[in-house]
Amino acid sequence: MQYTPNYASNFLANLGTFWSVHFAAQDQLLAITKAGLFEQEQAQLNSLDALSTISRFDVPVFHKQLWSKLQITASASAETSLVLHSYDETTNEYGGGIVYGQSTQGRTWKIPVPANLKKVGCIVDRPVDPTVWLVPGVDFILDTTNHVIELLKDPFLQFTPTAGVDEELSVSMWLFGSDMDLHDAYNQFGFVFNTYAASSSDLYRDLVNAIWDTHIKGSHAAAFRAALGALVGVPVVKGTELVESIIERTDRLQVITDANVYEFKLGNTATVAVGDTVNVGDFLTDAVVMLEGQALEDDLALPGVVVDNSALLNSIGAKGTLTFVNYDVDVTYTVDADVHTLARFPIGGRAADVDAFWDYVHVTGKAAGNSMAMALRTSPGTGEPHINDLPLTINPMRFLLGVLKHNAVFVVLKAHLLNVVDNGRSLYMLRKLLPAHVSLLSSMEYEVSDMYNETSDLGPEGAFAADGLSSVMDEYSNPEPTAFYVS
Amino acid sequence: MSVEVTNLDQLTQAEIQASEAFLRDFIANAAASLDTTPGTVFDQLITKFHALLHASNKATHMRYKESNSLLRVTEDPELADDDTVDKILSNYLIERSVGGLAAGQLLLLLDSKVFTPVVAGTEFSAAGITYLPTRSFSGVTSSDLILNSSHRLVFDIDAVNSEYGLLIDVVANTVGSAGNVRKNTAFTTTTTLSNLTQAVSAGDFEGGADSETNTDLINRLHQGPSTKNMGARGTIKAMLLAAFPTVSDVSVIGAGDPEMLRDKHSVLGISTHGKADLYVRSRTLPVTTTVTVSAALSSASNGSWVITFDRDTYAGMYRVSNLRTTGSTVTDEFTITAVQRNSDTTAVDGLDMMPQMYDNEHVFTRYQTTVVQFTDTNVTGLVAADTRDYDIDVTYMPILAEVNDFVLDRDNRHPAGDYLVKAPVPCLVAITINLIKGPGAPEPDTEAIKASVADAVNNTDFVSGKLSADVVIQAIRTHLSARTRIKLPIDMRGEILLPVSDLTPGDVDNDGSLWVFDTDELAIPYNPEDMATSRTVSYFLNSEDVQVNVLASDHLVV
Repeated sequence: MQYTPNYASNFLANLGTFWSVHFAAQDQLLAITKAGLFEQEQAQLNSLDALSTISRFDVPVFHKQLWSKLQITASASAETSLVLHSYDETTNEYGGGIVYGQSTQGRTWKIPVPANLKKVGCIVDRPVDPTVWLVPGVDFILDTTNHVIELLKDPFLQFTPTAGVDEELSVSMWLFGSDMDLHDAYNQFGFVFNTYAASSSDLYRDLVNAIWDTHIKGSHAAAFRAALGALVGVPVVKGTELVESIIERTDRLQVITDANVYEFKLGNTATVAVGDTVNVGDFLTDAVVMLEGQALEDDLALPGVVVDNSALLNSIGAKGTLTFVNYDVDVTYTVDADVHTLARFPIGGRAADVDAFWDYVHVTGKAAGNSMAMALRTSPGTGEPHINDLPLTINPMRFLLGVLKHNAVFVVLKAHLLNVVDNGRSLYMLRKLLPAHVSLLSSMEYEVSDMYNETSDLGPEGAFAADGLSSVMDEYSNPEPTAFYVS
Repeated sequence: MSVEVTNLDQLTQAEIQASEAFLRDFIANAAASLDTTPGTVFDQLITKFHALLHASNKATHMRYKESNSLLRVTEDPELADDDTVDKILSNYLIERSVGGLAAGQLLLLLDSKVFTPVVAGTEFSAAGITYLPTRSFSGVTSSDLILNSSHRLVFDIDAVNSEYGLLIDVVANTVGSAGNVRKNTAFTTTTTLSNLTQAVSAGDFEGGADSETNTDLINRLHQGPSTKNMGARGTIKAMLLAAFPTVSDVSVIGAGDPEMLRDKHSVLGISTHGKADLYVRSRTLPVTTTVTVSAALSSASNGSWVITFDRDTYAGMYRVSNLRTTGSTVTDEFTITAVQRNSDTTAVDGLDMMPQMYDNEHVFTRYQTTVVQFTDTNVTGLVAADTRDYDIDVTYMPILAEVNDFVLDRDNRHPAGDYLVKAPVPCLVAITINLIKGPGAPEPDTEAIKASVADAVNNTDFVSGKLSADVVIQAIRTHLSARTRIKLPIDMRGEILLPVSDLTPGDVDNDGSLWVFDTDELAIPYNPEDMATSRTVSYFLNSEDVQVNVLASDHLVV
């Protein structure tokens, strides 16, 4: 027999007129049948969950729990004060329901809930014919950080309290349509590659899949981009898709394609337009910019590059770092006693360090038979270049990036546009997703407000300073980025 | 079969009670006139039976789901039967290793040079392990009498003092790494061999490996789905573990890693990337073996000699020690005055890629050659370049050259892939443990404790990085009775052999060793400029280097 939601209600009618009209225990039978069906429905959901966990692509992020009962005592419910600020304070918004110029005192009641409860559909006083119906966002808020439900009204006034002999007064609440985090994505697939997240999410599942893809196929750009996107909380395009609309809503930016809806924090600026065709691994906003190959040399918009290579700096006895600026400077050429052409251009840093660096470059170049002057030759040839074959100006940063570009990718991240939650602890995984001989250089741009935000997901010298990720990033600089560091 | 609930007795009370509570509350809310109180007829006949069936359904689905995860299976003994685990492993193309038998050569020291038969069933014991000859052997007194591989020569060690030797092959009769005894380990036998005075291992035993636990398998599970190629750090490790069964750990140091020095030799002196170093633990422990080498006299006036190892002989060797006259049992008869680790970067047959190496970057690789200098003033009648044989112990990681050449083979390497295989920088660990025996407790099995501690330390991988006393304590605890306790602290020390080119043994300022001591946690100092961090260093502990002192009970009689 096919299951239908109103099967229980039709049950008696299906049995026939006598039973539906004359059977005295209709209510009881209905109750038993409904209860059994809900249990069976839950079992079916569990069964679907179990089947979905077979595939890493479909593994459920959360387990759906139809009904769960929450029984709380008066002592377990904590009442807290809530101050609703007045108009003359800057944090309130128009239409917030606050009387201008007046402060309002409010109260909430916090009820502890299981740590793995991530969403509640609604709260009722009883599963059948409820008389109290609480709606999330209106009557209560689920605080998944502190694992409490925050009610705006006293639960002991909304629900019917009961108490047994010598028992504390308590109320029962029924949670309907809850999402429980059973860590299925980790327990089934994430653990294989040691990728744990304290809380599951779609992004976490994307990360697990990107890591699996890398291991199954070897390092490839699409999986790296997917992993990067998942780690910093910025979705990447899943296939070849057509952008159909870009909508800025009150709380998020949506880029809608013919296949998917991609959502971003407010403040993101779309880097695609309606009608564009986008490809797998594309970033759709300015939150993440990834540069590879020639684009690394041509398109990186930073004021300069700071060389912070301790081995180099130690070997030349430098006491500071060296800066390669991003604008053209004059190159000067001299000839040494052995008739080798020596090229030199201005570098930022202590004068003694800069001199020591150029001495090192010339000595090393001569020893290797491949001097700086030879590297700057603008026309084919061998041996010492003629002055006519050498450039008169050079962009030091782009020269340096030209050296690095074949074995590096560069990522520019805007901290305030990212959504790093629990995946942040897996940033080290990026090291494992690139070929071992390729480096990830990154630049993190911060707004000043980020620096004072204790809950900022990535610190000013955040996880991207990890080994193999190569660099420490910009500081306090948005929208004007500063230099980045190479080792 | 643990995946499905075939008997309601398999359900836990919690599972049943949860279902009962839901039904009871739900029905009570839906039909208040029904008495659903526990114990009533309705409750007994309707609620409980419904609850049992629904709980069974839910439990079956949950078990089905969790039985697909080796992690969950391992955490839940109810699910962890071999059938379930093997089915999961089959999805990952992985089979559980059943372990291996340790084997090696046993040197029988004899007091007479006579025909000496050793039958196949003769039992020899060491470290609590019984070993058997791989076949029957016959010790014969002349090489002319050797007719097949079962015939072994009884050779002279010190004929004047009636010391003779006979080498036989033995194998442990139980699997496990505990059987990998070191060279010169004393063996006992209950079988009477009339001319036998002593039995010792002629070299380090190899091949002993423990069967894999579920935890071991979890740590190895990633190898199954991983493609085996040089595409990324994880796939490199999977490739090497699949290609070389004795390889147990791999650390890939590449672009952006501070330990990567080889890519910092550009004209500009900065990292230009494009290179990777693969630190490969090719054995649980380095192997120490005695080799007879020919030394050349370099200066007759001061008795200075030189031994040269080419790059293919014990490739990437860690150290040489115990230099002595051939056949001598004197320890460290001659002092090694200097060791130079040079490089040989001529093309390797069959390979068209030569990794770039500068300074000390060739040390502990297959491109390392070793020159050993020592003094032996017994040079009467000799001139420079004359040669003489000596015995010397060499400690090395086997198959380093094979792994390196495999990585650089065109079938495996990237185009232009400058990858270099290195033996892990060794941290040779020694541990001292004091135990206080409980009142009336049995004597702790110190040999078993030593084996377990060594096993635990040797399983500390690159990812773990630090050697915690916790690892040691856990290994010991399983061997102790309830009231026997470990007296803390535990003395742990390690000698890190740094990858330096030139060293002078015995000179504390230039012996190439860095010592670490601790009682809580042995950690590798962060020295990327020496290519020595926890990502490049492996902990090695031989059970012989575990000292277990059992102290008398200090308990008051109760």
